[in-house]
Amino acid sequence: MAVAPTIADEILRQALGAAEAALDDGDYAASVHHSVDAYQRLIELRPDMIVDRVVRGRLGGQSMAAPRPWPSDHGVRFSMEDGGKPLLIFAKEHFTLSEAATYFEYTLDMVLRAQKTPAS
Amino acid sequence: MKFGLLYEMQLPRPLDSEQWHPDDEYRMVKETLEQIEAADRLGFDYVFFVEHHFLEEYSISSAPEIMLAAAAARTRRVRLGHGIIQMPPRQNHPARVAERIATLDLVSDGRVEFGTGEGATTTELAGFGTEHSEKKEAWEEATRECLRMMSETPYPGYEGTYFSMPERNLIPKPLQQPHPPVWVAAARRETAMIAARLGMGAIGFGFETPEEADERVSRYWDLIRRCRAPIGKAMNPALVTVGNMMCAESDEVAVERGLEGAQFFGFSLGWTHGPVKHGHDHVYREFRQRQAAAGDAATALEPADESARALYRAGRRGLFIGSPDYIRENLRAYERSHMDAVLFFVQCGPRRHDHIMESMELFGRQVLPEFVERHPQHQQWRAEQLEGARFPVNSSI
Repeated sequence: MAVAPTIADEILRQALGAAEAALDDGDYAASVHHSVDAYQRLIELRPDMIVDRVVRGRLGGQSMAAPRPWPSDHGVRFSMEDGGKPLLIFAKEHFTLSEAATYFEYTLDMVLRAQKTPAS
Repeated sequence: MKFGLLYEMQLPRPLDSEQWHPDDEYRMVKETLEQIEAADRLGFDYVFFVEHHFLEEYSISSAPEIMLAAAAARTRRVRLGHGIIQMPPRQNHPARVAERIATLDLVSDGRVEFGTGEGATTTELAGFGTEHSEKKEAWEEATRECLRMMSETPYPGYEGTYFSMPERNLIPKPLQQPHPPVWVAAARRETAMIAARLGMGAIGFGFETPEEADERVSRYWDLIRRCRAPIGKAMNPALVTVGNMMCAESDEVAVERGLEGAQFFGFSLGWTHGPVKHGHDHVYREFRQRQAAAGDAATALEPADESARALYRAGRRGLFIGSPDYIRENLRAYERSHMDAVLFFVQCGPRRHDHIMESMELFGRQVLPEFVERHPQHQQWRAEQLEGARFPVNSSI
């Protein structure tokens, strides 16, 4: 069963639904773009979740498991200047299944966490 | 639910010296093999070895294929797993991996589990010239082609991003057809879901709680049924979690014998991801000093997200550090979540070999049998989950 129907916000639901459909169809670049769209929407709705991860990530230093606001290693880089708005920057346009699935599952998990926790 | 051991082969430097004593590594290898013989005799299902390079004190398991070959010669039943092989081609050429896996499968009468992964630390990746930004794509490319090499005659050749080779017939072929069960290391939640989409088993280094396991199991099996592009020619649907185990007659004795090792495990893992002075750091001494100063070194380098919670849970909660009753109860929670197997770190930090052997004996006698008895029910549940799956299955669960 696809997970998109469990998402309350309509824009998020559509973007993640499209990301998963593209993933299933083997269009990995399209899937990544839809996941990025969903993440941008999440930034608008719940900036507290993203900022929290940025701050905790900096505190975590170089550690492997320091919190990540975004899995930056796989072709779409996360950037946020001090006090600025978070940005996702495409470093490439070709993606594998595992990279696209990483972005989709990460975004989905963040969205579901946001639904479960009140904004701070 | 099945059980196995996962070996990092941790070897802290001795406190009375800047470097290891001359026979420390030799002793570690021999003790590990003795523990594996015991595991085979006691009914453990799996023995896995990590592959790590240059991670001093954290792991001397840099040539797991040699340890597994030695284990194959000393055992008859236990399955022998790579947990995992670092697949980016600069670390291991896919053709050499295919040859080694196939040969080990023949030597061991078809007992190999083929675990794959990317490698994580800068120490390791930069040591071989692999970029962090390449490793996931390199892992996927190399793993897919490696499985083709094992199962196609001839392998038609490949022009890829991370390696290329002409048509060749890779020999020998593995005993298990079309290839041994294939796994991926899944430190983060999303990697377990990638595993499902690729028809792979997930070795969950995230040390999930039973509550988290419920959610992951449900999503994983949904994705397995919907899998459209397995990475190999057969799927290995399986979710495994990893924990730290020391079993003793009482909780107090287990904690006394096992907690420091678990804490050092977490501390030294954190250490490997920071700035390292190769050949000079004394990680165990640092751990002891911080422990004395702060009372709890396990959390001194603790990060806060999913993988970091791993250290906390392994080091602090000690889900599997206790009496047989304590461990049994915690394992039952995972069993109720339909986890397929639990792998234990039994050897870590300064733990004593005789304590590890006693712990394994006690677990084998007093904990393991009831789970063996109930495993057919789990297999029935798995069969129901697999209804509608589109691809053949090759799994030892």
